[in-house]
Amino acid sequence: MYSKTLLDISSRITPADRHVHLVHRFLVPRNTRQLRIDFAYSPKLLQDEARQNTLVRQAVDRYMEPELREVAYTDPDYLVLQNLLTVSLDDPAGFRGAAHRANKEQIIIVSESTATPGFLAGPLPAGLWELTVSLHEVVTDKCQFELQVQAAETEGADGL
Amino acid sequence: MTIRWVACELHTHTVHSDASHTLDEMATAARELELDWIALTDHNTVSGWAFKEQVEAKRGIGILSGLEWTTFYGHMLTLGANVLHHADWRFTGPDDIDEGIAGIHKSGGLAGIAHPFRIGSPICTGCYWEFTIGKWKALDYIEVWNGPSPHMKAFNQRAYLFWTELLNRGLRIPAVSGRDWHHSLLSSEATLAVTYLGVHEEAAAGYAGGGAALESAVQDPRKGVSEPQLLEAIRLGAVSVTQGPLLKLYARETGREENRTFGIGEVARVDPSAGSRLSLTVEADFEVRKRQWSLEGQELKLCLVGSAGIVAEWIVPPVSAAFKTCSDMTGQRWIRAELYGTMNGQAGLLAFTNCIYVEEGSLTL
Ligand SMILES: [Zn+2]
Ligand SMILES: [Zn+2]
Repeated sequence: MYSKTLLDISSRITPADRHVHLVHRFLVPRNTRQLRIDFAYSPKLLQDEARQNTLVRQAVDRYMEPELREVAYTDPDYLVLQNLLTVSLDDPAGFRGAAHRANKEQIIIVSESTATPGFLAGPLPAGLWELTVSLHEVVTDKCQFELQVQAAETEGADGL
Repeated sequence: MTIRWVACELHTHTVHSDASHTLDEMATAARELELDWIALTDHNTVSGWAFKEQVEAKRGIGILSGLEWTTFYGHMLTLGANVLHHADWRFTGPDDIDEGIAGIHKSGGLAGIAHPFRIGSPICTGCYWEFTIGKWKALDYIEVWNGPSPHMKAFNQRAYLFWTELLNRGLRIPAVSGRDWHHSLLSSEATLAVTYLGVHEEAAAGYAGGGAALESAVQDPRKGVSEPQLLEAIRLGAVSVTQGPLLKLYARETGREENRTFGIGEVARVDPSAGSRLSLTVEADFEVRKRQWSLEGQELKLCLVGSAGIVAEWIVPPVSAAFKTCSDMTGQRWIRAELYGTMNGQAGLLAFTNCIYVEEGSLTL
């Protein structure tokens, strides 16, 4: 069904990259009927307990008032730290959607008539589109993400 | 001048970002909670808006268009317009928020800080407000109560104190609540805050004409109120926030021949040199959304608070009543009403009005 791969990239990121936006500009060809974006990253959770405690301590000290800190250091709600990478999409005219959600594996479909929640259905104009991966949080030493965009052509488009 | 108070939930998410319910499911739950309007404020997208009218008609509730600018340096709620063309959070650094807010205004939207003191990264990414604001006046509102049972959370108490500080510095900024609604399930202990927005009755369409108009308005999911009217109510600070009874506040100038009544969000003038004083009335309405909460068997404390301290205090039973006092308002830049009691076994602030601002001087210049 998907006849063309428009982008296929694998990136390794580290905590130094947190708060970076990685913009992938790619060409959507004429007569594109549907786009499929596959996005996956790993690991999701920080398993290193010592590092986790250090990061929680730093956050509590930075954001909470002194008298509340002691309890907060061991607050079970705080002791699950995770990477958060989100994807957003722009067509040549502007915003086409974003997936601000925690899932580490996502498939996003955009077409003229339907779109995955978070994205805007509508015509798929040919030209340079952008897929931005926003690195909201990177707590693990290393994190790897895979990003792939495929296009399905309008039927009969070849027969011109 | 009659004000209609519209029960609103101003901070919600759906499957279009990271929540588990659809707009339709949330609207159904909102109706059960006796809300009049909800604002759809998904993280960084407006794709959920496409279902707005359909859900409004089906579920009989008004839906305000909004989104939550979910950035690395803070979360900002926007209401009333698709701001993404003029205000792209991905291009907004920690020192660029003034331009971001200008872009939101250019789009016709309102900008409000969400949960300014919720713990930040890496526990809750961007949740603590770290943007440097140059022009505080440009901000349209601040969410001082975030989440269920807001009075029990330290970050909300801090936000409320911070709002008070801003008011004392002369900034006239409205304060609202937001459930930050992510799923329709709710533990039975939790209480929910509602932001009431005050719309002038004559401005509310469909209600002026009596019986027939009233009937059509009952079938109108938007209850005869428009989105621009609700945005204007926020802009003006015609706002009252509560987990239970609705508080209203009025000020009337005495000692003058022509005296008018000022409501929440308005600026009242007093001229102490001319012997003028303000007659102040606090009304507590215990009939609103009655199925949702109970304060039975409690004695509550109702306070009239100003920038220079407490103006009046009453110990009151949990029934609808009005309370009056009179003050020359010396040194007061603003006044608001606050209700204290116990919910979920924790004592604290249960409701508050936004301010009536006070200026000294004669009205006729
Ligand atoms: Zn938020
Ligand atoms: Zn939110």
